[in-house]
Amino acid sequence: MAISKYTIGQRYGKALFEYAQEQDHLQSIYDELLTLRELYQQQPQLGNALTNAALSPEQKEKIFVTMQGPFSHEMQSFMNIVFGNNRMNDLLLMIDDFEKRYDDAIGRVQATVTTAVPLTDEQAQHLETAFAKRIGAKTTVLTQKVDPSIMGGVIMRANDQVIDGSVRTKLMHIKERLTQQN
Amino acid sequence: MSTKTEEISQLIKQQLEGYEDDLNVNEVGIVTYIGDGIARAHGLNNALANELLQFQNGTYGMALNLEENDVGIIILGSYDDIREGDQVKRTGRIMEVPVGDALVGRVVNALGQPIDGLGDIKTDKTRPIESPAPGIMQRQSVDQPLQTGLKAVDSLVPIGRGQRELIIGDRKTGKTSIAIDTILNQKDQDIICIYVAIGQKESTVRNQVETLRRFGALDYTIVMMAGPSEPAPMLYIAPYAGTAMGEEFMYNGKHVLIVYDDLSKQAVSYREISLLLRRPPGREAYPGDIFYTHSRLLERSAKLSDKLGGGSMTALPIVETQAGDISAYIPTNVISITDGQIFLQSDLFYSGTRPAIDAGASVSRVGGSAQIKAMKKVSGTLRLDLASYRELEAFTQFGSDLDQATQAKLNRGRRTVEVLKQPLHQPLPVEKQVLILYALTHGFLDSIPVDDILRFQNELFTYFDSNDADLLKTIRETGNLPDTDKLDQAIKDFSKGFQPSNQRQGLTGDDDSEKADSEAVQPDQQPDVTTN
Repeated sequence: MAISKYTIGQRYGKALFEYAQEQDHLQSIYDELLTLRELYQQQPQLGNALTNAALSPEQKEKIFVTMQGPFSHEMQSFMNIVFGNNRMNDLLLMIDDFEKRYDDAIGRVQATVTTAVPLTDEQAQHLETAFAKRIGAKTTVLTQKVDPSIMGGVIMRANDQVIDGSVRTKLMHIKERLTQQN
Repeated sequence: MSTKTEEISQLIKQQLEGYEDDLNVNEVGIVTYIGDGIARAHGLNNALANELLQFQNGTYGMALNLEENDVGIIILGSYDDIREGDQVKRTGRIMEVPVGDALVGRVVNALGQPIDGLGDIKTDKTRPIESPAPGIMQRQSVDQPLQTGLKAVDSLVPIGRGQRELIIGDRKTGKTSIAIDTILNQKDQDIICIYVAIGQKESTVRNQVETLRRFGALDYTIVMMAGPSEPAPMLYIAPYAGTAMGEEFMYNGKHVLIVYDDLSKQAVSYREISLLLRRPPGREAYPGDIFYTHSRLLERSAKLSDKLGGGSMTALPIVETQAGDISAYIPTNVISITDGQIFLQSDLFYSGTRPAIDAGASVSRVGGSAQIKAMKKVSGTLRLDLASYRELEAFTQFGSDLDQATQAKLNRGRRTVEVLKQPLHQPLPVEKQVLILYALTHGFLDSIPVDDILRFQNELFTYFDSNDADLLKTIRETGNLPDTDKLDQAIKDFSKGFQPSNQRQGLTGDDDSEKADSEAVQPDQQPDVTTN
């Protein structure tokens, strides 16, 4: 059976994280990974292009070298390994895994918050501290999402946990209760 | 008008009582694969095996595979509007179905939802579809009979309450008919019947339901239907769900008969699910735990100890064979799990021996102790008679001269086969079975032409009903044979008045009856061997 892409992400992520820890370059490598992720997000085709069998190795090499240029020596060697193993399309999962390990190490939690209207800075600040307290982490990094269809309230999501306080869900529950007994 | 709105608001208020405005904390995963009745979801790290999960569209699923990065889910319902990237949330519950008296007389699907259009099932009790089988201290040995109403079954392969008796045979050999006739015979026996149709054509099931309704059997029967158009998971869970409904009655001291029609289709749908979930295939591409699938199901049928109320659940699993091959994987598995099997043969079926039970290959490992004494007495030699008849029948095809003893054996064998025939949906009460088998084994039928046996039997029953009802009553109530002198005398009296058809019709009888008569009178006449 083929290895799942998540397993691949975990393997590379773990290796890179442990290496960074040993070298005591955790912060700098993490920052570089964030830059790399941004690059991938700006060019969604990048990963596929670098593993595409239709492109000749030379063409891929050319793109890769350009892309590799600005990174540190350590990052470059990591990318060389990934590129050599033809895993460039799974790079985002490796970054995710690294980030997860990094977050665990410094007691930080990534959370997505969905609201009907954009949050003010103050509200976001408040939510961050409240959420961190509830989940037992030191700090929270919020990613904000606006979805008018939830009508009101907040949906928070972190690490496969969803805390749903949206008006839509509450109305659905009331609807269920009303239709069930009739 | 104002009063009406007030009433409505009052009602709504009542219904909203207990509604708590609290936050919903859920553990969720993301669907990464969807199709063919199964889904894979990333996340759900704490999901339990067999836990019920809910998709975004409200459909439920069951976590079957817990793997390193994802969870394999079987979807219980429609999966057309589930998309990759949808959320799946844990419910913390395991799969349950509604149970209780309200289900009796209803037709439900594998989730216990009504599909007969008769409205909601009003019950608040549920049971998990998977539950451990009773242990050794919770059981007792099988000692009460479960009368099927079929002469061939009750005499040769008797079934006791709490037994698991497999019905096995090719397609179109009358497997379902045996099960349905058994259900029909449970009228007024204080037995709840559950008929689980797995992968049976909807039209066929419709017919079975109509049959049950026509004979008044639906009043004590639950029909569960998982049709071939439903996704494979529904077919897979149907027998477990049906068993859960039966357990509710069993643990309340009642007697239950459950028919799984048929387990080979359930095995096929489980194979489908397993292959899609990428479990390694084994023999005939069935997964490694296919034996466990059936053994854990059938172990739940039991005769409970008196301490637990003495309830029982009798299982009649049905397995279809291909071209009579009982050494295929599923048949051998289920044969080894059950307490015996009723083997049906298409040759017998097409030659008119219906039910087409192969007496040699059919056994009941525990039912003997559940047979009533009278039946035990009259059926003791039956199996031997049949076996020696089959052997001689093959032998006499070579046309040698036969001595008196052989002729007598052939004679008796032919009549035995004839007596064991029984038309569809006409179960016989046990006392009448005993009566006709008594007449057979004591030689009262030896002088009756083979073609007249059925008529003799029916007229004998009518005669006894009107003249010697007390003898039948003795058998029914004590379970013992009545005074044999009286019984002999009564049968003799009737035989005197019985007119074989050749005498009635004189010499103008048609060819068929003449041929049959001559065969009966001169059993040593050989079949034409030149055609070989």
